[in-house]
Amino acid sequence: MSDAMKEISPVLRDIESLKGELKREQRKIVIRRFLRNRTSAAGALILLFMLLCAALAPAVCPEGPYAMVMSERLAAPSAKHLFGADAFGRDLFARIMFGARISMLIGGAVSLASLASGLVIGLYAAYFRRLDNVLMRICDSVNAIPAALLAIALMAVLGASTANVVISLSIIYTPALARVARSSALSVKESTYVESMRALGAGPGRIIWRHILPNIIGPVIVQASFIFANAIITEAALSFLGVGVPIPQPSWGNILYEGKSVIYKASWMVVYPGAFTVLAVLGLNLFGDGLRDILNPKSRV
Amino acid sequence: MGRYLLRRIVSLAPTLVIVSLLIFTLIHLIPGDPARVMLGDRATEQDVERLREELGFDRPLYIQYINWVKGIFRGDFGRSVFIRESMVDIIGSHMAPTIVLTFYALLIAVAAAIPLGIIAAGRHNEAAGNLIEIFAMAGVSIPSFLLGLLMIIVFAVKLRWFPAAGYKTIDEVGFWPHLRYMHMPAAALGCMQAGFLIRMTRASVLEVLSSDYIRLVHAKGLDDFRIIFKHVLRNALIPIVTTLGQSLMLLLSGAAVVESVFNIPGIGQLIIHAVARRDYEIIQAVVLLATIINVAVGLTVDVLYAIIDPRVRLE
Amino acid sequence: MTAENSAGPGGPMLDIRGLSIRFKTDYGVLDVLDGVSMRVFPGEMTALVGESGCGKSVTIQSVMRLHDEKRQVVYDGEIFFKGRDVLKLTRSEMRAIRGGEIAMIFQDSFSSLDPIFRIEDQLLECVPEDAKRTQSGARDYAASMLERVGINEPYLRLRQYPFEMSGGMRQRVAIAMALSRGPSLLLADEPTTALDVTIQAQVMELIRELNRDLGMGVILVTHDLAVVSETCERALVMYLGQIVEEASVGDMLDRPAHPYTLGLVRSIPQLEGPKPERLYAIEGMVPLPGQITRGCRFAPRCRYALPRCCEETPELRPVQGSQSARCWRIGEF
Repeated sequence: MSDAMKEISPVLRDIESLKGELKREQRKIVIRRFLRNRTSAAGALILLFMLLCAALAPAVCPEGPYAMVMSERLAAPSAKHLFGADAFGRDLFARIMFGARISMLIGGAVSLASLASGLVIGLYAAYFRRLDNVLMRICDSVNAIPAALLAIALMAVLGASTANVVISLSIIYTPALARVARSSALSVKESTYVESMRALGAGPGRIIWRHILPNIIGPVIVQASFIFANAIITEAALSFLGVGVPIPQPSWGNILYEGKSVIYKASWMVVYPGAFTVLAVLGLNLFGDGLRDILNPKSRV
Repeated sequence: MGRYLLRRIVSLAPTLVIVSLLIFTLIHLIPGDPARVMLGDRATEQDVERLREELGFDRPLYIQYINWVKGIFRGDFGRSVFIRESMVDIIGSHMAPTIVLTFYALLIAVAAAIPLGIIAAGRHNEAAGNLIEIFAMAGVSIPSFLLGLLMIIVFAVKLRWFPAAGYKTIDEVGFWPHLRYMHMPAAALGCMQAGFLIRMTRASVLEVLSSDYIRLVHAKGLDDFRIIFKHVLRNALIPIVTTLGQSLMLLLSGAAVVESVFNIPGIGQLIIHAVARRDYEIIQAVVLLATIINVAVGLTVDVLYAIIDPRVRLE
Repeated sequence: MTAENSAGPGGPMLDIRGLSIRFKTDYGVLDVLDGVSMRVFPGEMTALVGESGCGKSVTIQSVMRLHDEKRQVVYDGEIFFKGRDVLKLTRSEMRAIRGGEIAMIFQDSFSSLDPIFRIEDQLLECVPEDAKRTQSGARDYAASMLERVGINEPYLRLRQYPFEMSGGMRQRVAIAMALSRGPSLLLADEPTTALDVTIQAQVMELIRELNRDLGMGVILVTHDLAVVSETCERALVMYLGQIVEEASVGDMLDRPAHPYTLGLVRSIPQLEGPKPERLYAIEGMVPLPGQITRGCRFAPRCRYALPRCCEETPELRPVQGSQSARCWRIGEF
């Protein structure tokens, strides 16, 4: 620790503790606003419901998503098959419940992975001007490739599997998060507070992760929740095209793909998985919207 | 203006280089021998060897890359192993329906979204405004291929207003009957972008309405018509135009998926079939070409942006 | 008093009587003005002074009913302009007054000029109809307006965009716009706050000159008492949506009757005389509208407050001559 640092460290400690108090207070305000904001509360409720579906699928549907009853092929919705049955006589309700697991797993994993890589890229690009140009150019380039085509090409090369869907989608969504992280970090970096930390000799790593990161977490989380929603959509699209989650796994996109060929006979094959997809995406969009309004009340006129 | 444009074009060069590198590496990431993967396990070693030579896989990677780029400048995007036509012909014939679909969808999205967005902003505390907002939220939450499937159930299976799927080119049936096959796909595809654009327009108009310069034109005693159509809309349009490029790109991307719902033989179908056949040359060419289109659209949007915003043009 | 005799010769051109304004917002109803009365005579320059958020801008914007364009607003009271109550006018009658008989200049000329139109486009919107008959006639008129406010090479400036001009230049353009239809009342909302000190003086001098030469009534909204002392005849001090003192500028500066005015006067930095220990500052923060429901609104920050001040609400009472103040302890300090 330098002399200057030693001299003013008690002051800094005071400031830190004051800041901590302020943070806690702010956090309380954010949580209170979150609960009062109808949009975000509705989104959180839907999200909770989807997570419950995913978690409770094995308990609610003990036969699992693969049990076939040939005599009940394309059975219409009834007391026995709440949502009907598919062309192999599998219970659609069970497949959709287990499908929620795949969607939540992929959406969650993709948003976490893009969060991690996007933060690293965005923060370092913001802090080191030299890196900035290179990193952002690469992000722009990935963004310039139409997302669905890039995803299809990646899946073609990697091969269809759940893990590869996560990898492909994370590559596609990282640049968007990196952009948000970078622009937020740039404005924080210019603040007097960070300037003074630097003047006191704090290293880049410490400044980036201890001081800049906590200040940009809001907009980054908002972006991550939109990525979650988009990942669910794109996973469904890839599976629908036959290049996503391999059959016979019960992904919503797979069910829709099978539903397309029997659309004249069994519209429930499209309607129910479709409704769940829309509900999940809607929940995440509401959640993200609400969160953004809370963090930035000005955006809500 | 000329200088601005030149600067934009020059700054695109590195992006294009990186994109070409990305796509090239991507395809050559395939584990194992690409020629063997393409031909499958039953092909003889001689066939594989011949293909390898034909496609230049036996040469070092950087030579392959250089040859590939050189070819692109000559208009040679590689050669499909399975379709005995030039790549330009293959892609060209599949690109047409995709482009029609994309632009038709953009037209629908813009024509619906801008008036609705303006109404939503003008009546933002009233029932009409809330209704439009709910519609926009629903729009952005329904994946276009899913909306396509639902539309088939309602309009083709139940009501029988439109053909469920299929496609006839303009040459086969003429423009209007051709478009008849496009109504549903374009509506399905455009809906999500309409949702985005409604929200964008609403926010943009609201921001302009609350700005100081609109207060000043009110203080100048201008009539409402002039205020809305001259000052509010022109200013509100600026951020909307900048997102149009992004919209078009998302539509192009989404078109690939919607095509498969309606069995339209566009580039989406082409690339999916290519994936099934492991025809990597086609995948590579399609992705590159779509990216070039995308970049060109972005450039066009930049020009539009400069035309409507003097600050961009002159600074 | 009826509307007629207020508009007679020698009477005030603008007569605001008991104006109260409430804004309806998402969070409930906001009381922003409470019983504001003021008069402006032709050729007179009146200052409206107070901290930000006290309702100065709200008051003058309500003269043009500009609030109607942005939010839901409830007016109470009367605003007579040349004998007509503007609160009773239709939208189209209102529009004829705006920019015609009453003009306004705003604080920030950068954000208040439309960024994507040339000065010409924006200035021509204010040119009177008879000058507009020919295109060159309109342009000449616009150029003459620019010259009138001291802008050189007016034809060149007409072709420029706001972002190509300096702040002082833009404010001159804004003034030219305001003057172009020969208004009889000019509302100036902190016209110099965003400008450099030297440019400030020039712009204030211009406004003062126009007021003298054209006989325009001017309301100058400001928080700068130094500017007030140099340019205005009368001043009204506002605090939290109420007028707390009304006086000639000389009286206000020499013997302020309200503790708040006293604070404002004392906080002017003095160039002459002994250097004070530190600049005087009024303690505390301005409360939010509606926070104080009983007693004098200034009481929580007033160093002279008595228990009575927190219980009973004082009215505006005459002090001496034309001076009046809203305080229980007039003349006691």
